[in-house]
Amino acid sequence: MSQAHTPRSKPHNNTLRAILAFLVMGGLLVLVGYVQSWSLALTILNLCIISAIMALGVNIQWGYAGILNVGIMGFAGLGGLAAVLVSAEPVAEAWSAGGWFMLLALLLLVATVLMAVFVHRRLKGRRFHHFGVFMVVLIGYFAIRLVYDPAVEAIEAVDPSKTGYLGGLGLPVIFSWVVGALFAAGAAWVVGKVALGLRADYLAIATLGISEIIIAVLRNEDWLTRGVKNVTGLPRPVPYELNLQQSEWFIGWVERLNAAALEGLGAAERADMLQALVIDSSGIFVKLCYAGLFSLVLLIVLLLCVLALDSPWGRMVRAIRDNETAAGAMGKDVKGRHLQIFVLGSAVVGIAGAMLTTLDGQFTPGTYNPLRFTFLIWVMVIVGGSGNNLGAVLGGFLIWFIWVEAEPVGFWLVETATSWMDENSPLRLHLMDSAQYMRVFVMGLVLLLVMRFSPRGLLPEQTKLH
Amino acid sequence: MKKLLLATTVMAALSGTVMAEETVKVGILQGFTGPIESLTPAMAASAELALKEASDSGELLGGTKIEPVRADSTCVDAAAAQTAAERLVTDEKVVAIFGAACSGASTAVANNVAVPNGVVMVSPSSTSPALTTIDDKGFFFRTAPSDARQGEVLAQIVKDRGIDNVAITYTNNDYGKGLSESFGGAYEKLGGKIAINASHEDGKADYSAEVAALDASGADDLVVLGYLDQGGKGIIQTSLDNGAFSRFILADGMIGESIMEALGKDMTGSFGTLPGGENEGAEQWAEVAKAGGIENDGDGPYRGESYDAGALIALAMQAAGSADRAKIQEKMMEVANAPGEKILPGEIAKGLKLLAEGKDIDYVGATNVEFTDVGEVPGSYKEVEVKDAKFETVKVH
Repeated sequence: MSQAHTPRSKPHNNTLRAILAFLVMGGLLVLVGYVQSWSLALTILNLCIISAIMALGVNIQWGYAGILNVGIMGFAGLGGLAAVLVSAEPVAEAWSAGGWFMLLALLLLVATVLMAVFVHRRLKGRRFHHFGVFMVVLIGYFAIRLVYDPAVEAIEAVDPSKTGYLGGLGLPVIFSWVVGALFAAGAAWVVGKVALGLRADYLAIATLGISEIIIAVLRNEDWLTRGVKNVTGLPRPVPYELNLQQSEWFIGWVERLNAAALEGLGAAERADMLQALVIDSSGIFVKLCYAGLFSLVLLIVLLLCVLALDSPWGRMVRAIRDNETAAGAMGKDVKGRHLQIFVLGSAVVGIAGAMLTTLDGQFTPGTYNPLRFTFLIWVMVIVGGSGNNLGAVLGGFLIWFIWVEAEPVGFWLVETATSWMDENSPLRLHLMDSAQYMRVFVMGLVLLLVMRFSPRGLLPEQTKLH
Repeated sequence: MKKLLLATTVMAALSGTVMAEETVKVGILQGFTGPIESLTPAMAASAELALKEASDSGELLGGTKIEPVRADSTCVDAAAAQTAAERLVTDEKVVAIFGAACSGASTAVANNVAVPNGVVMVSPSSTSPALTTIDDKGFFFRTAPSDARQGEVLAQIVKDRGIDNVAITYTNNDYGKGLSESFGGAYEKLGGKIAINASHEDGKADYSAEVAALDASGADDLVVLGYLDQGGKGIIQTSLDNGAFSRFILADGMIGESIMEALGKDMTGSFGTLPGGENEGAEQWAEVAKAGGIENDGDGPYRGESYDAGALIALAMQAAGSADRAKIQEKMMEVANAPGEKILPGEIAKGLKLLAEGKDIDYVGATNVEFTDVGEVPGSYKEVEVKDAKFETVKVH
């Protein structure tokens, strides 16, 4: 697009651009399928979809409303927690050892909060207002610790190398996607109540700190999450490869699909070939199941986002973003909308966090780091085009694709570029050794290039003039 | 096209008699970027050294060459690790995987990629106790012992030295936490008292608050389960400065040259455990590593384990008589365990030859490899003590 056309005045051009961009993205994935393997292409696709959903969540906050949330990691972590609490098998021993006391502690916590709110309201403007609230919280705190501490100790003592936590509900993991959204929304509501009054840069620091706190809690409250000992082997919402490989119908199905390739082989060869095909297909089948589920979620979230942004509500939110004071003067509830947006965006991130833990089949609180779970997602939104839902999705796809494909492509590039050199030339060996680090380099390069040539992202926001 | 390719691979594997100059690929899945990126290049190089030794011998499956293919597990990002493993397995068609490095990545890759595709994984450095019990269908092996065992050994040593009351500080990750639990449990069972068991975070500038809490517990000796160039060192430095503790009980993550250079003079009498033992192969490994250009002559974390992992993959391939994934898995235990002629580092060619002749071998390697029935090493440990600013081996457990 030449500089003469401003993107704002050419919405038509933008649609074309979006279609082209997604075609290219799809082409890249198909290319991976042909050149590398379909199984790999589907693995990347699944993670692209999850990234896209996470990026949509951030886009809701930053793109629609200009809320600078750099605590995405925390909300993704809460989604992961939901996956554990919903799907892990309950540990009966731990429940009998201290589970009920833990519930009592939770009730006490709720009671303390309610009591504090009650006292706060009753004593407002009177003497002893602050003192009263303080005393309620203090007494509540000690009462909770009295029940909580022994409960934690009892639960964590139950076979610590294997369990040592309460476990989950043992329900299908797919429910956790909703629960993850609720967890993240709940946390966002609390955070938003406290911090949303802050100006953008202060809010950024606050959310950064809060996300670290959430992760610290997940890492240290072993009775709840097993902490850094990790929960592995979470049940899947889709079949297991090994079960497929042994089921009659699947083998029969693969046999029929590959009838041509299997024809004319000896019995032993045919059996071995069939087994290899069955193993290969089972992996692809499982990934297709995931891809189906994830795409469904992505489409639903995207549809809701598009509808929301196109509605009067969306216009109001953008008006608030572009000029808070003016929108406030028009009678718009700036704080209320901000809180709403913050909660909605975080909930979407929570869904993606739960989906990621589902796909991994494990929850590892020690591995949540801001580079991967906050800044990479931000890069997705910025490169894709903040304020544009399709842009966020494209950014999620493209950045994740580059994140994992930079390494093999880097190898290939180095190998091709140095193919004229001696096999053992030091320069060639050095370059080959550094190929792994291409990932971080390429990520920076992409960000710079996009910022230089398309500062508003690959698919810039489309401002409709109503 | 894809099917044709697949068919050719399968046919080649089936044909039994392997032609000379054929190459098979082995995946080197390590955390080349991420928190342990300073350790992994030497680990990968050690494993590649073993694979090269097997290739160069010309004995492997009648002259087959092994081509290592590196991939980055990132250590912390399970999703990226799985993608990298998926690439190795379905695109590069590796026959086995050396890796992953970190326990979280290993678990994810084993559950979601290696086991479903029937590919052997040998990790040189995943020490999480949780990996003992994963449902790996016999495809996951490790040449580094589980942390659970080290805790027990260390507890016994502490008790034997007549120490009845200790304070514990551990680095807050799966390594530190797992170790503190296994040590604490074993120590209390032996009748010891733990005055305080507290975590510390790595990478802090100041550890005086942590040390003050440990000191206030009233214990005489401090058990440090951390990393020697991270929080563990900070804790010891601060303890010495404040006069809180003078004797330290250390686990493997704390034992290395750098801490002796910095603080060795003041740590006399401190002791600890380190995986390894009276290794028959230790000297040979040092020579092999020196010749192969491995950093610090192979003396360093998980380098010997890596060499052994690589060697086992090559030997199992030979024992299987083909580079078939499932057959390699069947033979892993057999080549690693007694009975058979002992094979030390640098003797891979001899091992391959013996296997070709149909004889039985027992790979000992750099770290005394012997697999338990779940495919991990029980691990022997050296008890080391600080004397004259050096770690000296006192005993082997």
